[in-house]
Amino acid sequence: MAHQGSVEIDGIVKEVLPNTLFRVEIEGEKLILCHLSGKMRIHFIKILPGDRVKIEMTPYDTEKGRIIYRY
Amino acid sequence: MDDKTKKKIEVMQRAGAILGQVMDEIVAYVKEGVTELDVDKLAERRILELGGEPGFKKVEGYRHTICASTNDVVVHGIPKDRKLKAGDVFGFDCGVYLEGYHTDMAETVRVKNEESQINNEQDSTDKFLKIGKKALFEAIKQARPGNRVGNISKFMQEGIESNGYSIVRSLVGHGVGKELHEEPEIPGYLEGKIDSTPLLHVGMTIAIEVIYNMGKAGVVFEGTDDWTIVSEDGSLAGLFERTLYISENGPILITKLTGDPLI
Repeated sequence: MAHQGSVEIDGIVKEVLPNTLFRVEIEGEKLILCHLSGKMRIHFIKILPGDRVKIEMTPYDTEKGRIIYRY
Repeated sequence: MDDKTKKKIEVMQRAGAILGQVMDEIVAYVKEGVTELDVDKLAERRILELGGEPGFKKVEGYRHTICASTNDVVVHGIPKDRKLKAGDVFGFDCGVYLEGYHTDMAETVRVKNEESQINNEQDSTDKFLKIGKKALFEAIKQARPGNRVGNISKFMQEGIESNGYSIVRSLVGHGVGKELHEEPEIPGYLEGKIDSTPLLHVGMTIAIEVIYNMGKAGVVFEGTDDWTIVSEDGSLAGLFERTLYISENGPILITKLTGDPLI
């Protein structure tokens, strides 16, 4: 069965939550709950409100995402 | 390869043998007048008789054994009572679950009528299908340790798009094992550099699929159910998929049809 591929979207971090979770605003003023990708954790990349980031989302859960890059 | 991986591959090969046999039987069964539901029922019965379980029934919300994707349906068509007509492009996708592991396989065939079994080389639709299957097997050859997902994607994309067809962007192949869909995603096209795609290693079990349209790449939900996806411009869609594992020497098919090219 074919799988729907993940998509990469840009967003702006609105809120920093505990346990490296973030609320990110994407196009259409939608807020997505995102966690930090492992690679960013390993390299200790700090994310603050207002940062522009790239997130990866799966079409199978449109409320969640993963931050994979900070611009 | 550690023991856990060897066990996984051993079980998946048995599941793949069941799936391959059922798919062979479907290819022989499909002809004018047969309905998509007939094919679905045949697949379910034969899988159970051979000792497996229909893998797609484990997908939440899906109640059939196969996906039946005819003509402009790209993927995830729910089998219907409509009779197949000679010339229809019938894509069917099926999975077998055995002892905790999934396998996944798809093939697209041209429906023949009762008399004619001739494959017309000049026909543009037959050529469309031939190119797709060839692209899949060329891409499968790239699945070797040390290569990356991007190598597979690049071969699929070139095989298809060099002939004027389009790779569907939003649907991908995938790892397969305890779950039907696992990491990594294996798109049919390369975006960015090959080096930024996941590395392939010995023991990986993946389902490589080539999903493509005769016209443009856009796809949309058909709208009458939550599953069926059709080509946006109404052009014919093709689908070929095999599950394989990566050995030290390269790819070894877990699911295969009689008549598949050697890799």
